[in-house]
Amino acid sequence: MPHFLIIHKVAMYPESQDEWIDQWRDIKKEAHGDIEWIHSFLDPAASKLYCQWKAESLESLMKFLTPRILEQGPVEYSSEIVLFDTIWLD
Amino acid sequence: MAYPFPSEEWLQVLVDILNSDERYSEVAANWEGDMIVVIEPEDGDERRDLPAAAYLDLWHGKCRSARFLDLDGEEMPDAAFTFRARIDNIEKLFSGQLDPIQAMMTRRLRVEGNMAYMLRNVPTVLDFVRCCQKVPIKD
Repeated sequence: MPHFLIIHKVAMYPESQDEWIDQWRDIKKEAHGDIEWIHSFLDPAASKLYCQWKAESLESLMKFLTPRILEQGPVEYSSEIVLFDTIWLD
Repeated sequence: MAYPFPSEEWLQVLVDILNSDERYSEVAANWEGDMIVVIEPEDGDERRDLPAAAYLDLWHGKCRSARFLDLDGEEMPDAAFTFRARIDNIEKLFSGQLDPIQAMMTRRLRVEGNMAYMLRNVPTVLDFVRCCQKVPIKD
């Protein structure tokens, strides 16, 4: 499956640790089948979240990113990306 | 030299590091918030005098004061953040075996306080842990 990079502008930070973990767990749980959340990098200085996903298509991924997710972090950029894992050089 | 953990000696060495570390001073330049670190016993571990709680007044890249609280004789101060973890998880954090973000996401390190402020300033938290890792712990 292709990989995608979604860059979110963080509009709302969670107010508590439980809210943060529960929200992210729900998103991960809801992402099943053809959609997989691989990992995310937070750039706190710019309030941006860089998320790597696997999905059948960018269209199916964007459909998955429900209005609730988009409200907390509107998408600034999305594109198909290719993995070059440096572990393959070992 | 290694220091017993938790102990006043360990805490004072950490204060000296926080107040002399250039990187911490730079990364935490905007941080305003005192914290309490509650060190809880492992299940069934009665060897150490736990729980214990350290209070640290962290302000703009410096530690203005730090002390262990008397949990039997004083009320917990109203700190901006309270971190709670079992001692084995804290020792893993301070030895680099446990990633601080992983500890938070798995609730092995529990955080009470304004999570939005903490996430916006997460490099300060990570650098605070890096400074903690610089204080050797006696086995």
